[in-house]
Amino acid sequence: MKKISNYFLGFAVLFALLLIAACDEDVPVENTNALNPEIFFESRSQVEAAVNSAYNQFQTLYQRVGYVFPDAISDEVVASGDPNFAPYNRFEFNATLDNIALYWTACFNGVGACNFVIGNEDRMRANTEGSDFSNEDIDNALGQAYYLRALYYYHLVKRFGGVPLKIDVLTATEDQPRATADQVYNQIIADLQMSTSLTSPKGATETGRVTKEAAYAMLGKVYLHRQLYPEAQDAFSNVINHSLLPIEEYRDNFSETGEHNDESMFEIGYNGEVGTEAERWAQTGIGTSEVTFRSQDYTGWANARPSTKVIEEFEEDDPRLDLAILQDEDNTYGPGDAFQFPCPGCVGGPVWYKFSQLYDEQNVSQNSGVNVRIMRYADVVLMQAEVEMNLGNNDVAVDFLNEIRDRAGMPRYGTATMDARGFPVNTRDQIFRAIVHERFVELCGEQVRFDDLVRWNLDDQELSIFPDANFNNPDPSLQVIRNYDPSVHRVMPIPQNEIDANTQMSAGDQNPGY
Amino acid sequence: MKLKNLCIVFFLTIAGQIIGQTVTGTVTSNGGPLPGANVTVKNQSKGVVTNFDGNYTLDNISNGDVIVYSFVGFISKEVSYSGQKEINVFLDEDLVGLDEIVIVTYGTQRNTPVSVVKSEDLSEFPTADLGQALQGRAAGVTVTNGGSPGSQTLVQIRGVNTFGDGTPLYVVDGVFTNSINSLDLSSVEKVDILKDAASLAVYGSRGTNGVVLITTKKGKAGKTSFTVQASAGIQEFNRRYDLMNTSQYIQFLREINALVGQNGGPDDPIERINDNPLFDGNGIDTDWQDAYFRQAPLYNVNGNINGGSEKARFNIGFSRLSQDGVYIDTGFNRSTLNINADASIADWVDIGQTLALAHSETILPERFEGRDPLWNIIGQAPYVPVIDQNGLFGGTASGDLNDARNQIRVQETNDNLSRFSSIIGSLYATFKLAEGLTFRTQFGLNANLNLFDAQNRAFEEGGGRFENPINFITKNRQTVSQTIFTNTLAFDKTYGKHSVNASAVLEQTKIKLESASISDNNTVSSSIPEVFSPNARATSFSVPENLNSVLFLGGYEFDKRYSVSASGRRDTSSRFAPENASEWFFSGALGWNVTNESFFNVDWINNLKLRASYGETGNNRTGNTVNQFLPTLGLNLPSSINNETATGISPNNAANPDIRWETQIKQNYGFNLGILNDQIQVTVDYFKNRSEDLLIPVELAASAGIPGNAQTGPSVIRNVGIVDVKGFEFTLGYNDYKGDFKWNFWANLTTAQNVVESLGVSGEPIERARLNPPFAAPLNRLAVGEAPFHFFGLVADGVFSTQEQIDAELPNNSSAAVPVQPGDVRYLDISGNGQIGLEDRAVIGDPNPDFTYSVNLRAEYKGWDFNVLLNGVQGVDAFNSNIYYLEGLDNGLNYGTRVIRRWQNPGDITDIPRFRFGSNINNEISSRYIEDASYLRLRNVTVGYNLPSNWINKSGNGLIKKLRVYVQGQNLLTLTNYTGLDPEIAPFYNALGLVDGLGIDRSAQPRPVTVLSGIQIEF
Repeated sequence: MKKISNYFLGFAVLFALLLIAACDEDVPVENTNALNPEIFFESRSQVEAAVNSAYNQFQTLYQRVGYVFPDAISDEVVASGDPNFAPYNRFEFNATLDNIALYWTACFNGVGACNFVIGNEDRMRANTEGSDFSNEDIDNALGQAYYLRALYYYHLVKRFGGVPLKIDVLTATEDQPRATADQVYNQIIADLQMSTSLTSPKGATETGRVTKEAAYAMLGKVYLHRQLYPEAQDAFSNVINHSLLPIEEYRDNFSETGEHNDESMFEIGYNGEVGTEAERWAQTGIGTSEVTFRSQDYTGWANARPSTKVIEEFEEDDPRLDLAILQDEDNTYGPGDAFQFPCPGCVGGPVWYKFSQLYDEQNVSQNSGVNVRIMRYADVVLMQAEVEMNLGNNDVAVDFLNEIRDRAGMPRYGTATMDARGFPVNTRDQIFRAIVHERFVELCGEQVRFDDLVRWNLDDQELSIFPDANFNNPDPSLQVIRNYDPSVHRVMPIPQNEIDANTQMSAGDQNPGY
Repeated sequence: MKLKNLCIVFFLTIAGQIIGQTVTGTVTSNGGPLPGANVTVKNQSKGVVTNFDGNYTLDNISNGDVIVYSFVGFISKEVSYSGQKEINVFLDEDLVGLDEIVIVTYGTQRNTPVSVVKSEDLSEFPTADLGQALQGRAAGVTVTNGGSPGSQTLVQIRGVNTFGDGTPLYVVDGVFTNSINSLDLSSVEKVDILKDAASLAVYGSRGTNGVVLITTKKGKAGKTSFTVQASAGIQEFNRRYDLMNTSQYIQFLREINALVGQNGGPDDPIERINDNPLFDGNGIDTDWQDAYFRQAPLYNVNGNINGGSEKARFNIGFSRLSQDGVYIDTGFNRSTLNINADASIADWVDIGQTLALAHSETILPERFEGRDPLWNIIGQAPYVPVIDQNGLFGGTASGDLNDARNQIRVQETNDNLSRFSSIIGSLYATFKLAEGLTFRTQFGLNANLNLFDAQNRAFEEGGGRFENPINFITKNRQTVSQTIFTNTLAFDKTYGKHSVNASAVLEQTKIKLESASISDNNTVSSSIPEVFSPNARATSFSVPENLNSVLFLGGYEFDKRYSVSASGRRDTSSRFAPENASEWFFSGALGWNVTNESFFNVDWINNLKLRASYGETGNNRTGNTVNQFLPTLGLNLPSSINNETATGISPNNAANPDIRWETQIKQNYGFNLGILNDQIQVTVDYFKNRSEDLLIPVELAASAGIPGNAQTGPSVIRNVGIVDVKGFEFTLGYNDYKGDFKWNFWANLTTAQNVVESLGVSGEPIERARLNPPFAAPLNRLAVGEAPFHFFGLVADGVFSTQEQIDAELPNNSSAAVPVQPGDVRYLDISGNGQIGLEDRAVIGDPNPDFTYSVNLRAEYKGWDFNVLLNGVQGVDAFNSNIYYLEGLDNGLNYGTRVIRRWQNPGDITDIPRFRFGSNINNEISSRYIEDASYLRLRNVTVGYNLPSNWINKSGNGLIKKLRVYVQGQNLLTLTNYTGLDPEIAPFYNALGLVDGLGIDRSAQPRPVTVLSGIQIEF
């Protein structure tokens, strides 16, 4: 028994030792899957990676809804019944549609990524010493982030009106109430002003990144939309290093091979690369999905056909029509116009040629690498025309318009030909009509028409009638009425999940009519 | 008790002690001699345990003493001693399976209701999942199966106690595991289900959802035995939806075409019909359901070798199960090997080992592009062939207005194979340090390897609408290793009328999950299922977790009448910030055995025990993420800059620094009653659980700006809310073992009432499960004062027949964003604002059952045995998504024949709304989809026959000890009003393993009718 007692003592000691050994200091673990934001912005590649992620959410946005919303709610498009298109084309949207939530979420995620860069300026500046990046690199990073944040907010304010204004990285995840649309616009202007002072001109920065000219062009556009014409005029005057492509190269404005040409102000990049099938469909920005479904959606499946109205808006001799829209067997497409429409497996015309893969390939696919053209220099020129018109400089306005006409090889405004075609430009109103016409055809299918109609107060008149075959039927009873109500449908409903989850928002904060 | 009787008892006791006689005997049961059975003298502390041959010798016994023979899992027997030299006792199995003492590796817990399920109930039921075998076997345990072989089974113990992962903790021979799919039931000796605080608090941090203790078969001393069992059967599911055939469907499409340009009609006519008005389907009338369902075989073989001496014992088990699914190309197979051994290497040292190895392969139904299989099956045009004349998979054309995928193509071109290999093992040593004092050390390992291989091969559907030229390959390789080091110092001794036990336990758990994912896509070939192209990419992550625990446990019993036990456990988890990481969990329990009181003299009651317990448990399940209390940067937010994919890094989580333990207070009050020497047994328990600081991922506002879910943005784990569960458990058993015809019956019934009492500071409802596509809005939610995960939506009541009816009911309809029109669903204007909108939503269903019950009947007659198990669920609602697939009427898909009676003209009175093209209010979440899913199911009927031993011995030369053949039918009959395929709604799990998909029928594979026959041979 003595022996056993010894063992007992031994085990008692062992057990006591184990009790001590199992102290809680051993418990915490290290997260090796992610970086700590407290120790970041320490190298050039880290600064760049943070900026890159600020571009990322636009890829999610324009995988589908960034195109679909402004197109489907305009009069340029007739949607198929596909649920990604039809409710918007019919103004039958509501707060629980998942695509509206997707649009909202992508924009705010983008704002979050921009805030991460902007809010860490002090940390970056403090880290320059002994590091491989300079204050100029930081300026460039900040300039991009300010521009992108303004662009995300532009996308938000156009679709929803006032939205929560998240500009401070420290409080970004806290709930905030809706700001007014004016406050959002003011922030956009402030951000773009910052961007113009921080970014580098085209050619002095990596292709594909935000340039000083892109910032000025966007600033001018927002000023124009805010009816601040002198400011707009000044901003546009800083848009240099860009030009209109000759008509022979016009297709470069919409094709994959023509990306980042001299007419392009800013693009959302896609390169066709896909990680996994799950990543491709994730629509969160997480993972490799450098593709847009637009080619397949618009051109292959014809879920958003060009309306009869937009086709009829083209003058008969306008070469831009066949470069924008494929209608029937008379159309050819592809490199060197080698193929006859319709493309294999495609539904048939009319479909959008613009931004499809068909400029470069025989087929369309879901994995399109065609970049989104956020703005073209042609738009800048047309906006300059509008600014000048509003400043009373009618002649200058017509000159700007004629830059566009000259490039297209079309008769100039102010000539007898154009007067005969119903577009005289003798008065301000006539110039306005010419601008409306020229923007419609030059920029068709480029996500500007709905916003133009709203700011021109033409939305009720143009959007209440279905833009298909009978839109201009002289017998009003034969015109199909669309469910458009300008007091409701100028903005979309705030996504219901935002209203539910945001403690600073309640049902009363929803846009009227939803 | 009368004084006279007392005097006699007293006299006899004294006399007995003076005289002192000896009795010997053998205790046996159905399985032969019963070693380790207790033989005690009633109302005395005297007692012995039977040896390996079931023999015992009891000294100093007196006339009139009552000898009690008892063994866990058997009905105790009492024999009055009157001078016999030998008393042999046969113990009947206690089929009610109830216990109030559980012996865990930590020590003994008293006064706790434990449901015990024994191997005999499990082994002849071939199933992929232990949870399935537990269905209907124990009060308080609700089991919901998926019909797909190998799919996860939802086991809920006493209601919904957490908003997060509600699965119980599984402990196999002292090793925590979640891979219970790896155990073959034939290797399981018994399963104890712990439900109340007294037993669960011992498991502290992990006990909130209940604990399922699985004990595998251990070696027994004696002659080596070899048992082999084989069964084979057929599974079939014959219920079908009534869908439109080709001519009905074409007529339907013509009617849609007539609506073009009108409100609710499509914009463009369906080309196939419009361009060819005479189109009649070319004689093709595909029954897509028949193409997808099949008869599926099932077979199971297992064997067991058991033997050893008093010094060393072993048990080896093996099994092979193969089960195909009733959907084509689905199935499960598994091989297992169990090796358990233990030995006494000295008087004071026992060592032992358990090892369970398993490998399984599972192919589940494919949900390509997020679509339920039955959505495609129901919606596909019947004029499309499965395979067309060109040998391509059939498909719709672009102009068809039907975007259903060919589900046969989906299932055949996509391979999602899961292979799972697992080891659950332990090594232990027990040292007897002194009388009653033992030290036990155990090292447990649960390691598994999960290989997931997905291939989405390039395909082309004949119609030209769907094609994919790319061959996608994804391979996930995930290992989870968990080590548990448990050291227990235990004391257990009886001093006269005082019985004392105490334990101190130290336990260290380390878990590490490591995952690597590689993927590739190429257009070269679909025949190579490997990653090789320049497009290949790989990612990996790892999730470590530590848990340290200290446990003290003690109990005291006086005179077999009064008992008390208590425990305290302190857990420290790495899932919480160090200042919140540690938490104490206490419990206490009281018991009173009334029958042992001297004043108790009700003859026909042989056992009455009252008990009460109170205790705390915790939960730290926060999903597969590390250090959620710290902010992190996501590394995988790339962008295409100048056509190069550039790394993007940005914040990817919303950290919650205050995250802490979810805690629960459980109370239990109950009694066990044995009548007529346990011929009738009754157990009743009342339980009340309150869970606080519930851990749940809360959706932040999408404007928080952190990527997560595409629609809702990020979520953050928070301690939110309180949920109360209270209910009753009743178990009733009756047996009649007299004569040739032996039978028993038992039944149980559980009620559980779940109510959310609080949801944090704001108290705002929290939306939960989504099924998107097709439903954009969440289906269920949590709200204060309501049952957890109740369905929430509009209340539908028929269809608006005329504009006048709408005008009368909804005076402000015209000012609604999208006014309701005749033929639309008639929703009730709950808010009274004269129009229909989201403000009219209400609670429309509760997926938590009012009660669940089961009835088991067994009988034996001259070698024949008969077993019937019924189980039922009552007062439960389900969200039947199939109703949308059958009558959604927002696209040119095929639907159920019921749409033929849809609203088409003003004045039509019908229950099916009009065709209304595109996403619209008729298909909002509403009571249209809610159905009562109560059911009563004939789960199992088994008829067996034991061949008489003289037959066996003639042919088997005495080698074969037992030979039994049986036939079994599963799910032969289901009584329900539910219109979906199966009222037992398979749970669905998201990445966090949540149970928030309760009662949502996403057209999962139904549970088939299974008929099988089997043979059991024992050598």
